[in-house]
Amino acid sequence: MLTQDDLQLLYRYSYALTCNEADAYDLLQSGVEKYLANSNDTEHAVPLLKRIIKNKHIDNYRHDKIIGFDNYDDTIFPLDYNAKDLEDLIIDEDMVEKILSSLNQNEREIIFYWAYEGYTAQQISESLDIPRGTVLSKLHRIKIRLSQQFNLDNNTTLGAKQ
Amino acid sequence: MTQGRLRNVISQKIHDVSLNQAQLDRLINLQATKPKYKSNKILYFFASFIAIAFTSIIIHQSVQPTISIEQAIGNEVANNHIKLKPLEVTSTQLNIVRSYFKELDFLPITSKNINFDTQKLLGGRYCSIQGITAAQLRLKNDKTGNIQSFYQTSYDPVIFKGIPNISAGEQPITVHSKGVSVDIWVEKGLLFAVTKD
Repeated sequence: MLTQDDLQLLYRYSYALTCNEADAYDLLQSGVEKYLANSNDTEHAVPLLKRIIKNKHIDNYRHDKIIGFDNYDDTIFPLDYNAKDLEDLIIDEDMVEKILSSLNQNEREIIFYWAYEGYTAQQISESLDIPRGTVLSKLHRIKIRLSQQFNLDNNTTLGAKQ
Repeated sequence: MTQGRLRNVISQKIHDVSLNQAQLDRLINLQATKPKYKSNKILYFFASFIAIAFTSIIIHQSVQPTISIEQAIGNEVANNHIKLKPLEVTSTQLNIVRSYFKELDFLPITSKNINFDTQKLLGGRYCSIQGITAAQLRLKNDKTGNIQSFYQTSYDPVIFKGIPNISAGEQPITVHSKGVSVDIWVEKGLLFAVTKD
């Protein structure tokens, strides 16, 4: 049985993927329906539902062709890069929706784990089953792109360790 | 304009997004009303098994060389003849042997292709040819001592299509199987087969 906290977490995960509250609810509801119909695994309900929701979101994309994806197959990153670099970017709070919208689905998923769940790069790589280097590379590229696109202030030097 | 670290601002933004009570109630209710999950593993297993078996049969049939109905009858008759299973009725009188076969839908008869002057009737037993119940009579040539198996069954024009009809002036067809020669023909609405050692 999914608790209210589980459902809120999954709703926020869905929002991170869709960047739209109505779409997030539809995604969550269809995910819960599919989970109830096809699984009796209550111990791992949340991670299982995350996977169902993500796959459903990808199916929706393939059907509607409305969201951009890229592959996680990307391991080029500075050897001395640290995920904390991204954390030091300073943004205006009213820009957050624009920033999230500017990211693609894979980037928002990584950002969800990194910012909201507070995961380390290692934990993100384990959750998404991708190499840690790919996670770091993604975070690095997100920082570069957001810095350029939104003229963000940062109090750290790009690529410096914290 | 409030500023903050990217991580904190995004975390707060996502945290601010939440299901309202009505949405929560619907999702909770969904769990209470949905039918319980039932494993389909057994169903999938049997479906896979049937599919594999069906495919195997199709493949087997497609690679199996097809043989003529005459050869199929010849093979069956030769196999039975070689085994010479015990007779169920023994008599040299056709009437007595004929009276034993009460389960047939025809009356065992003689044939003009069998010379009963030289062949002595020993008896008979039930058997089948291509799945159709048949009478197997056993004959013996007193001079040579040779044993013959003499089969007859109802003529099915679909199953036995192409077998020569000696009533129409055609000659019996001879096939060979396991060293046994078998004559096959149709006569008086019956299918006949006899071995010739």
